[in-house]
Amino acid sequence: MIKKILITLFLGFIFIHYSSAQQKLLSKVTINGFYTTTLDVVLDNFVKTHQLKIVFDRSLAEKKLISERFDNTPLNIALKMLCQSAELHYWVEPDGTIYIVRTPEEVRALQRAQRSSQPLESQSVRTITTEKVDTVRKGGGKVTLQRFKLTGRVVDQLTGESLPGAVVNIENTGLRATTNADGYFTLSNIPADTCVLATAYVGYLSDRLALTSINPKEVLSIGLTVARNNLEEVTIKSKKNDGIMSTDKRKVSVLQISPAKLAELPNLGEKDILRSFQLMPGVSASNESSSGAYVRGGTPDQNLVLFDGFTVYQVDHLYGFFSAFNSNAVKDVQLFKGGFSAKYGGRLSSVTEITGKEGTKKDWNVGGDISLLSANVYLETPVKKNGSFLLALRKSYQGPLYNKIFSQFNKTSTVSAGPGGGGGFGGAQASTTPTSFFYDLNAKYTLNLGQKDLIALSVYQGDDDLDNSRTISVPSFLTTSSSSISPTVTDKTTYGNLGSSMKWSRRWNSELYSNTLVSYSSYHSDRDRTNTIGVTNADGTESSVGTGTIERNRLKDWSFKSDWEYQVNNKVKFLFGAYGSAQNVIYKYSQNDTSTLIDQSKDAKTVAAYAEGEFSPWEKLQFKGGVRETYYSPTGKTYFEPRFSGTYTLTDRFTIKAATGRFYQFINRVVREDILSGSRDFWVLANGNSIPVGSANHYIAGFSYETDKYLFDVEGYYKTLNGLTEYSQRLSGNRMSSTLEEHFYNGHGYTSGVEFLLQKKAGKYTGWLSYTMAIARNQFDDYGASYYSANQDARNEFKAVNMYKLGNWTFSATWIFATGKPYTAPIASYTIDNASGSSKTYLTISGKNTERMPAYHRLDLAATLDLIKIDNRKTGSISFSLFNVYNRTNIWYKEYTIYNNQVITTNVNYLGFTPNITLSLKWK
Amino acid sequence: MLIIATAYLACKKDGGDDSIADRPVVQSYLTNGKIVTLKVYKQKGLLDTASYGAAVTGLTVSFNNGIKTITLKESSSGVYTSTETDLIIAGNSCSFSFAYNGTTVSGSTLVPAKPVSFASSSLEQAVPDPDPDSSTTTFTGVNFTWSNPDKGEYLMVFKNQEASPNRIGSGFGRRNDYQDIEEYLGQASTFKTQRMMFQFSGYYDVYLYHVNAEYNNIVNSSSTSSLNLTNPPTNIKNGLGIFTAMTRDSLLLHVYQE
Repeated sequence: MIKKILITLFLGFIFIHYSSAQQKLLSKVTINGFYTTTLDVVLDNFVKTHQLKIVFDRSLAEKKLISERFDNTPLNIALKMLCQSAELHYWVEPDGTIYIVRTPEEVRALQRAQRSSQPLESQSVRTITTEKVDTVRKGGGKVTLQRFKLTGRVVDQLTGESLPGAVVNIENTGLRATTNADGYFTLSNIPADTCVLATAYVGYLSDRLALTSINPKEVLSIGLTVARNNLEEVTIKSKKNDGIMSTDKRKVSVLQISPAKLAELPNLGEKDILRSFQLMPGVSASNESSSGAYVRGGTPDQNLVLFDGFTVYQVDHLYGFFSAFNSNAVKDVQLFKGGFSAKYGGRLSSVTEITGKEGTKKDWNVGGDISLLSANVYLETPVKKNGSFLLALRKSYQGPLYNKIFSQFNKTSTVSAGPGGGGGFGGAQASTTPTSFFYDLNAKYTLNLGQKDLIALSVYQGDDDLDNSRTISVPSFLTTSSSSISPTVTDKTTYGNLGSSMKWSRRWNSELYSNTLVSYSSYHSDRDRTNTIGVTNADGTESSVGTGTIERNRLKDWSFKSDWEYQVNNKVKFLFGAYGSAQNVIYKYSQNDTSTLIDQSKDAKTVAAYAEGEFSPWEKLQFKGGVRETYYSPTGKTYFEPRFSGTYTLTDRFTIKAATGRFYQFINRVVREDILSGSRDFWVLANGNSIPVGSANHYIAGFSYETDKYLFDVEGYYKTLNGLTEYSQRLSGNRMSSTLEEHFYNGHGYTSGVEFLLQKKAGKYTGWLSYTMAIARNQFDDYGASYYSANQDARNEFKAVNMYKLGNWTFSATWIFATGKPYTAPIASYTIDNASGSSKTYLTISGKNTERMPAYHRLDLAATLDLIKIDNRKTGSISFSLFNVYNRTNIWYKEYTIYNNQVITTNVNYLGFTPNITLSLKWK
Repeated sequence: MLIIATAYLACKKDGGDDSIADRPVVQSYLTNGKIVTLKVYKQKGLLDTASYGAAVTGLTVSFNNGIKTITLKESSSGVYTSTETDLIIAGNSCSFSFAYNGTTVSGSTLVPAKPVSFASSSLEQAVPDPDPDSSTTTFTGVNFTWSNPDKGEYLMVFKNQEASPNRIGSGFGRRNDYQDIEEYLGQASTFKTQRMMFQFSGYYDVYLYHVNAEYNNIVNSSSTSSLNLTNPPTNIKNGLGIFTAMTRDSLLLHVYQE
């Protein structure tokens, strides 16, 4: 019955496009004439003389008096003039229909009214969208049941930017595809005629496209539009998600977020991609000092971060408070929390894949943000016919927010340095003139060579320059006239990342797709904490001598990667590819200008190949099995990694899923014990003995229950970790000669947990509640025979993310609660004398990580106002954000000092209440 | 049920090795030509302002010098000593043990060879007045040398013979009390005195100690303020502190204000 009705509809060449996309008015129509009448008369005249499709509320328009003169005025200007004088807005649908409304919500009401009054009379509705369909019309009402294959591409309607990872499915069938990195998908064996193609992508309005008669030889282009706050919900049947985060129930442990919607979340100065993941289940949220992802009990270095295919080694700015990625340059972010595909390798816990924006293919645009922390500008433009270019720049400035965070790390901006016990005349003053900043730059050039080939060149550079150096000005009467060089304290930390990739992707035919990439990524971290004094040598010459610590870590990574996809049919798809990289890591540690204590330079070559099959033997079952084999030159061994994941759809709403796999890691970022006295961490290559190759096994199982508006998702995981490395340095010796011993402690561990997610995906109110119960425990022989809680262990984490849309405003509130982190505390002290009788006090400590910090919690609030043009397009937003609203004192770490034989404990806290304001604008 | 389990997990404190707080602290520097002295005391609470922990009295401490075993006598509370001064013989291994709280606390050390060819470039050290208004600036260091073909570890101690030594200069801006000067030299065979070393004049005994590596590892470990704490190193089994042997030679140095 339903089928019959559908067929009848299609026979009338009806094309229904339920998208609520706001369009730029592309009409070339110009208007002439002088009107002094009511608006309805003017509009009726436009419709009549120019064959336009304009929908308006007649009762409303009758009351609006118009007095305008048009002289070859383009339609959009004319509409703008009319709307301004009538205090109305206009709205353009993808089909070219123009709606004259008071608020955008009225568009839907008008559409409904129009539909019921003129039941599917269609000629005028078919304008833009019908161009891309309809070449072979089915004639005579006879439905041929031939099945056909369809290749399409999902793009952003406004910019033409491809959307990777969008889900396309044929409604009421099990046919389903996910778009690849260039937005392409292929569906085969589609039953002719009777189907509706539904497309969903996070942060965008879902699209339903009736496949009436299409040309299977052509690539179908599906344009999606960013979901806007103020749109009334379109009543469509399919599942939808216009929230900021999505989880695909057919994938295991994958999270996707929409950078386009990030501004609506509370933020601390910057729309932050990696931070927003910390609001999701399974990703720890209580690390203000690290933007890196602690995924399921893993550490940030166990998370592979790929930006346009190259590995990024430094993922944050300003001591970890901000992620290194400019959200204006990012199109799509996916986080694989575990059990990930054989396509990815080299990390134990998780993968964050970031795809940079290509830039608009339609019209140039400039935009930017300014907040209390940084300024951010971007430029996007089409280049000739087939190319596009995007440039985004971000730089912090020393505003109040920057200084607040900076001083959190550098408590003592002035020190008193009186000689010989100091004090009498006020001693010497240290003047601090810190000149610290961070910046990053993204540039991407994309070129379409015909229909099949695409070349993209992407560059990312980000640097932090944190300078807390000071010159100590000694009062003249205190100088011993030994030197004219005044003593200085250098305290400079610089770190950053440069990455670039060149990608060539080719759609060989509708079944075979390849993506080949060469990339270079380099990481540098320098720390110079030295005191410089002037010294007069025996022969009377003056020179400056620096003492302190100078550290230098360099990493270079040249990589080649080729990924292939072969889609045999809807049921079988193969992925295969190869990967090769050469890495060089340097670590230098010196105490003064002349003596270098550690000077390492290590090289490694990695070669890997993988193959994976995605099978869907019957509609409800989908599973992936893959293998990856890696050769790592420093150990001379090969490492075999099998991977498996699968989902089974029990009912339309209920899906069960499971994944497992083995993972290896060849490069570690080891953390120094003392985070204030040195650079906090550095990268080292595994060598097979003191730094073993890490390995992990993941076991994941879960289910999800999804309705139109809600998602309930539960996943449990168990992960074993072997070959973990911790690092410490012990300095021994005196000022004449010293040796630095490096200790690499090796151990193993496990993590396990259960994640619950309840999400409301659509409507005025969206958001989610997430609860994670997790355990992360390690055992290192150096710390004892028993397991202890790992540093990142947070037993309970609860997160509530709430967003409410009201007109052009979005209000959001996030609340985070997490069990305190474990730490090691002193439990007693003792004093011994050395051989000459001077005493020294030592601390004895509890077992490793046996103590717990108090619970971490905080509330963040934000309000965002979208700035809307008269034609209803969004041109920017202002957001007000309040971080840690009730000023909770969350403890970061504790410091212990021995003073007067007592052990004094000092808490070093995270940020308290911090407000911020961000203004974002774009030119068009 | 789940909530209860969660609450339980959340409250449970990790089991750790807290027994370390009960271990006794041992301090003993065995030196050739001196009696054996071994101090035993308890650790202190974190907020305890006393310099040292409470003495552990009434122990039976046995000591072996590689030839014979003796029992040390408690000469004052917590201080166990021998009467003989010839027990420490270069090349021999020394050990001690006592029973404490149901465990045996013990340690052993090797006596290093006595320093050879210890000599100095001068018997006198002139020190310029360090005060700001002083015009004298030249300082010529005294050079000490010894033979160290086997890369042994050395320690030098300057000990003023006076009961209350005289401060060099007027004492402008300096109020610190006299302390013996200890310089850990590592695997060196020379040492040159530095300008800032001497703040007090008088006759100094200059001791050159040949020490074991454990001395520096334990005494000079820098774990007093750290964020990720580890227990200080020790060579005492079931205890804390240090039990190490050293041999010494000495010279005399006269330090005066220029």
